[in-house]
Amino acid sequence: MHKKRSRGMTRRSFLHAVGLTGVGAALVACVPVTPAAPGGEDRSAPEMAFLNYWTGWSGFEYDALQVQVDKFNAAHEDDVYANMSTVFGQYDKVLTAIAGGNPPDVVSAVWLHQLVSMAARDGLQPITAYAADSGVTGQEYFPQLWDAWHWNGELWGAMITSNSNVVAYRPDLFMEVGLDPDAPPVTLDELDAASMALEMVDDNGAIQQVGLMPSGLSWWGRVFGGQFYDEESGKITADSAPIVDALSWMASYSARLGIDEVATFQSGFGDYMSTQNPLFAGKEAMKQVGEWFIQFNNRFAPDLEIRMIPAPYPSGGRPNCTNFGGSVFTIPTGVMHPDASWSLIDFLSQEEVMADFCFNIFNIPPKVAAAQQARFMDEPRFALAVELLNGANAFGPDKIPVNDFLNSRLSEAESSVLTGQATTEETLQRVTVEVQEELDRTMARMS
Amino acid sequence: MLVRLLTREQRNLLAGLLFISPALVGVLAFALWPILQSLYYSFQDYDILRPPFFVGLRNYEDLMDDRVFGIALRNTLYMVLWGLPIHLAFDFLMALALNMRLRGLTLYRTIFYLPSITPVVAATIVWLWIFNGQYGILRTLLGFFGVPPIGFLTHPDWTKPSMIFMGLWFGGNTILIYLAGLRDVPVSLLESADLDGAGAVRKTWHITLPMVSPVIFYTLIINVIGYFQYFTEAWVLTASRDGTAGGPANSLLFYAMYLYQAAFQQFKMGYASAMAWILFLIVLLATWILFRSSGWVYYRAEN
Amino acid sequence: MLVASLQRHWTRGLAYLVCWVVGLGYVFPLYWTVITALKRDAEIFLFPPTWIPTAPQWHNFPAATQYIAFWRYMANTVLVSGLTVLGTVLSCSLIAYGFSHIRWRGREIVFLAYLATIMLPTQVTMIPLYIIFRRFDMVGTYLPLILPAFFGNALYVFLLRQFLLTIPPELSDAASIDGASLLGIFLRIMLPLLKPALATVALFAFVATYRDFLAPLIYLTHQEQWTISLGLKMFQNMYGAQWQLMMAASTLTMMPTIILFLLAQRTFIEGIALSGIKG
Repeated sequence: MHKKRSRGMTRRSFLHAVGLTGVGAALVACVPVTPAAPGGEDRSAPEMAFLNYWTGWSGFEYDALQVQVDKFNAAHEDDVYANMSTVFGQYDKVLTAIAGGNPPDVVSAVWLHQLVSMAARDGLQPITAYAADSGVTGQEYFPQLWDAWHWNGELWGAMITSNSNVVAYRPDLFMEVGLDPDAPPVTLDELDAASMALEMVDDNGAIQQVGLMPSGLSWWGRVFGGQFYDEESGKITADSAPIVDALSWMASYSARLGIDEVATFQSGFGDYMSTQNPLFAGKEAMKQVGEWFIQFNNRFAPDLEIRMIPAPYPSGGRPNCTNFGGSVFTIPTGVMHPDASWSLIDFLSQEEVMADFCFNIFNIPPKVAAAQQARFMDEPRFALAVELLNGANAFGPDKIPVNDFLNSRLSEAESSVLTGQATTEETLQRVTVEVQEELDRTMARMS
Repeated sequence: MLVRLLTREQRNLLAGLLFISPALVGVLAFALWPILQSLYYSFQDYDILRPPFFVGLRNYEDLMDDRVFGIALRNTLYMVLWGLPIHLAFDFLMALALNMRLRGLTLYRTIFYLPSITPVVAATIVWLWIFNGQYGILRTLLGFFGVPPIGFLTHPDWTKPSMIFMGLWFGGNTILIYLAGLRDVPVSLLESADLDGAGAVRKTWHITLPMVSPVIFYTLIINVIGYFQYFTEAWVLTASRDGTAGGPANSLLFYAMYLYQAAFQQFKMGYASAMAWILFLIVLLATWILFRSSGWVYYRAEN
Repeated sequence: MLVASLQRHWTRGLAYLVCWVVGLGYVFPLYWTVITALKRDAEIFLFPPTWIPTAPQWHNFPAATQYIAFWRYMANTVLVSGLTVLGTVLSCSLIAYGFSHIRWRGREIVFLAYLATIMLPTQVTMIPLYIIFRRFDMVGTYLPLILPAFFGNALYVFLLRQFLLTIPPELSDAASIDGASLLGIFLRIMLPLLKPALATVALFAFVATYRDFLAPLIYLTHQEQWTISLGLKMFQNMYGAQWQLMMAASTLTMMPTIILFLLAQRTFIEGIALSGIKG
């Protein structure tokens, strides 16, 4: 009897399964192959160009950009519709789509340091002619930025936001140890002296506060007067004297404070994007940041005074040295309507559009006139960041197609040396050899 | 009917193939070509954006000279040799505890599964806080025992043990599988062992373990495959905005992470494919050895 | 007898202790997610942290569902996960039966080969797979996320095979003497016995699809098609995030699975032999 009942049940569940499959199949069939057209766009009109624009921005930055893209769509009611979606900076999505013959029409999820990598591998279209036709001469941009978008005699993209590096410090902590907050360090010796004065270690040897914990060899290497790549000779120069000096100097900090102690101290840092940022929490009296840090100050520590200075430099080094980067708007190869793609980039690059967007997300507009607007210049720290970006010692990424490889090897070298796993000179020599090999291999493939 | 003309063996073959036919179709449609394609790429210089060209064994040769590849392989082996046995043993003990008739069992069993369904970003925030060297809960607990502060995620010697510790939280699926297996142990067997005066340890060893050996074997194989491809947790915890990942001194750079960087950040899909195929062969060999030495697994259907 | 009972008390006590201590640890991520969802911006990363929000911000929950198209993404996710579960359960049970209770030449080697399909890191098969789906004109639809599930998944087939192999062959032998066909045996005897294992597989497939980030990112082209794992990322921006809203949305996201688990867990862990051999 039991068996019989169970058989009946089974047959019923089998029928259920069959039924479910049918419903499932029907549902699958109903899933729209082409999604409903957003924003009342009429895709049947033949003259209408439909653009897929992929951005790396998300969150409120995405919303701020959507406002501008909506303006574009309103202005191009009859000929172009741009559908923006974010890829969260995932290159795998971008590269898979391009390799699959399905590239986005415009993509800004390309970091500046990847521009040459993409261009040199024929992943992008040059926009030189489009820019010239639209009267874009480069005069209106910060010269370093305009130059950074060029490679091999062509223009490959344009940015509508940028940033630069500064050192932030806390006047109140300076005063506590008798340092003059109005005379912050200018030279490296002064920085060392200030840092040592600000360092506090308790009776157990545990670090309580530091001055500055140097990090980021790609910045300090340049502050020390070095370069990682020599364009003339085509050689990687990551083991040149200034860079070795820079890394040795950085390592001197962890050596002085104790490698294990620094690791423990840093493991006690709170979230970077919060009230517990080590600068706000008083664990660090100085910190390497960018102009975007002003918004953190306003949001997480509105009552705390934070000032900003250029990176202190050694003798023979570079004053007012900064690195810049950002997302580049590019057109992949093989898109359907390159002129429509350009029209979106052109629209978003307008002085007012760019300024509004940058102001909303606290970045520097790449056009000089936009950056000079009062709403930016009224903030002296912002003005400093702009001045650095406009200076002679502002550096973009090296124009080589192996920047990601270089970055990952440099970051490994830095953390290995700072945690006492390797020696400075040997490590940098190894990095140089490895990156040179990678570069040579890549260049051999190009020709 | 035609089927009647076949021998019993042929009929069985036909039936077997019919039952697995969805798998055959699935492999032919969605797996075979991508797999063969990646094998093909592994002998090519393929930068994703341009057509590939043949380079023979060069990707494989280059890998042998790649220092960082060695680091990634060693880090991964560390996880397989330490993390995997620790996790499986822990999960099994948890399942044993959860298999007892305890009060509030429904709740406990739901609780152990919670970490497995927490969204990754939320889990990461929680873990960064747990590992915080000053106010983190781990630091506080260890402090009670007089252990000095440790840079769990900042000191190269501690990063991998920290990851293994963190992995204890994500055993929900394995525990669930063990639980299902444990419920299969016939109560009659355990009761007769009770009458013989067997202790808990002996009962577990001589009755429970053999009876659940099929699922233990499953978790072993699946986790060998999974640990060799260890990626998400380490990537989420160490990736920085400039695309570098791997933790202090590359102590958390695992095989699949290095492979991903090569493929999608450094435009070396051919190289990454060679890396993938080496991993494939390692895992296949490990699986094959485990299958060959699976005499300890007790299948009632076979006896 | 006394020794045995003492021993049993000991082990039970130990089991309670383990459940409590480890349970606290396990519940911690959810607890932290929920209280973070209720905190004010300034309180989220406060050190030392507050264990109970000073002033619970309940409005974070409705705010989170408005910041992103929460319900839409949830509906999309349930659709995709549901169909994936359906496909997985149907196909994997058939395949697992073919790999366990029917003896045919080459079965073991074919099974190992099938298992091998999940041993290759997916990063290197992603582009060819994308090209396949593009050929079939499926990019931009849910089909690349759902369709493969209807053709089996080695991970789950293997699990079901292991469970099927614990079912004594006498059961199916007896049935075949009755003259039942193989399909009949599968449907009438194996499938009911396999129910708990199938429920487990269904849960795994559901959760895996629910949490999947990469496949929806790669194959969906319009934001209104998104699943919730993509939606949750939208609370993050370049240098920060709306943490409390993200945690609120995360909490809501977990709820259906938790409820499902609470209600259905008896099914997952009810043994095969218990229901099978006794019957």
